[in-house]
Amino acid sequence: MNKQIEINRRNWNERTPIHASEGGYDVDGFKAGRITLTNIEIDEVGDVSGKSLLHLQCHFGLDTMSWARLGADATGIDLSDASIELAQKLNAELGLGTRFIRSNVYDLPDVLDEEFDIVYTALGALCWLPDMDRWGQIIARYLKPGGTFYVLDEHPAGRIFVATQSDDGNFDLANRNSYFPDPRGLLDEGERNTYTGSGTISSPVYEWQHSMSEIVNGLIGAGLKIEYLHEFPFSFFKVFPQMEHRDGWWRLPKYDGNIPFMLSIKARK
Amino acid sequence: MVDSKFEIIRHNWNERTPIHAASSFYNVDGFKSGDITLTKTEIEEMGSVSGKSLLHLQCHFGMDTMSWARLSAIATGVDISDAAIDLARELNDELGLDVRFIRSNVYDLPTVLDEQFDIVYTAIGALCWLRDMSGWAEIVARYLKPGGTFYILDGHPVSHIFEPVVLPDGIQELRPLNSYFPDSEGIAYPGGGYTYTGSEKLETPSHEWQHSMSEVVNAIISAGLEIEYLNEFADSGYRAFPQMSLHDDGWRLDEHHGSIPFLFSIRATK
Repeated sequence: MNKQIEINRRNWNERTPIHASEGGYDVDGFKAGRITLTNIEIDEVGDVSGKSLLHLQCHFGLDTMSWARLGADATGIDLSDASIELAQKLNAELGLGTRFIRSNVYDLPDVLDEEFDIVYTALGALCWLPDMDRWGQIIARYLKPGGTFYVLDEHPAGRIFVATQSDDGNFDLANRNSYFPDPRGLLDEGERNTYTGSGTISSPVYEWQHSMSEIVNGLIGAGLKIEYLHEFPFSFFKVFPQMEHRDGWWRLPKYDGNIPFMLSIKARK
Repeated sequence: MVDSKFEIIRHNWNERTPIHAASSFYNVDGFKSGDITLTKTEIEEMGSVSGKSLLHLQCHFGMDTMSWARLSAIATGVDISDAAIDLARELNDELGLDVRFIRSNVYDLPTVLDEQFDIVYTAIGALCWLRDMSGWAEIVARYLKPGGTFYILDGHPVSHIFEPVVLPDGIQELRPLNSYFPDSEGIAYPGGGYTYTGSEKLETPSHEWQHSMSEVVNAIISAGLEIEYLNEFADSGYRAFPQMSLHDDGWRLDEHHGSIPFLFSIRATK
């Protein structure tokens, strides 16, 4: 597993400058004051003013620093050296008082010994983690008693489809991927575009599928109490080229409303 | 709760009952000779029911309810169908199993039953006949003793979005043609459809509702229960689609299609 996480660290080091320079992350907009969080996150996490917040898998920290702009006392952690360096640079430039720590999620207790009011993770995080039980334990480890955990991420059922052609030659969906987790993960050999656009990433990367039950039971097993589970018929990224952007989210007109593409969970320690 | 949709469902299940009772799917003769009709998953996840009071919601004609009695539960079964409850009582008398059966729609149960149980149980093919999960979960909580256990095994909402299609070259595919998300109006099915046990047509219409995982989970939490676990299963109790084959634990999608969850279970404590 450590070898796979090392592979992912190198992959995210390669992605970071591309993500920072391409349009998707809009670093200039962020510098000018933009809050990068989605309306769902802001509504569901609620008031963070004066609260300590730990952001797991923060990439280069735009969301972490957005929570700081909303009044949180924020800490972001990420496994990528390049991401944390960029986050620290942006934070210093903007004077946001956010702390950034380079660590993979599972090894965080080696470098951080604290408890937080809120542990938060979002939008493209769980697929980079091999194990939801140990993830749940890390969350519980960093929450104060009574503290809140919140996640907004991909829905496992949205990940089972691949694009195919229907008999009339038009776009269609076929279920080809497993809904259920496989601890071995799936190796992407590299030389692929990253999700922000045209930059090619030469290094390989591992991803893991996590079922709803694996996620929910990972949290419950760590002693958290689920407050709610929400499911959404749209995505935060363009999962299929035929998706359309409406009201800030990507929707698939062909099967609109039929597939859950995102989930959110709020839980309490 | 006066709702004509539940009257439609009651008539539909009255018509289904004698057809199901005569089917090999239900195998009433096997049950009479001592079969436990519960699945391995239910028995393992429920644990010992010996000496415990158990309320089975939507029990149809009661073979699962009476199977829990054979495993030493003090069992009560509730169902909307008059014919199903009549048959359940007849089987119970014949076999001397001492199970109580009550005819009632789930939502109206408090008008005829005032008790609390160690276990409330509901199983495969139940939630789709209920309109709203909040009212259902409040009933579950109403009938549980403090510290009591709720357990459900039912069809997974993700499996409900698929319909089988045959492409021109004869290849079978599944397409996500149905909504994953709930709609309180539900879906009306006209008469003339088949029931799941075989080839006899039903004259009466029926009505079903889709319930998402979040609707089910949040209803249970909001009713004051604490979820112990959510489990999901790649195997189905029946051949839901042509591209499934039989494995040790049931019917499963052929491997090149990936996998989808066909069943889920939730255990929760009051």
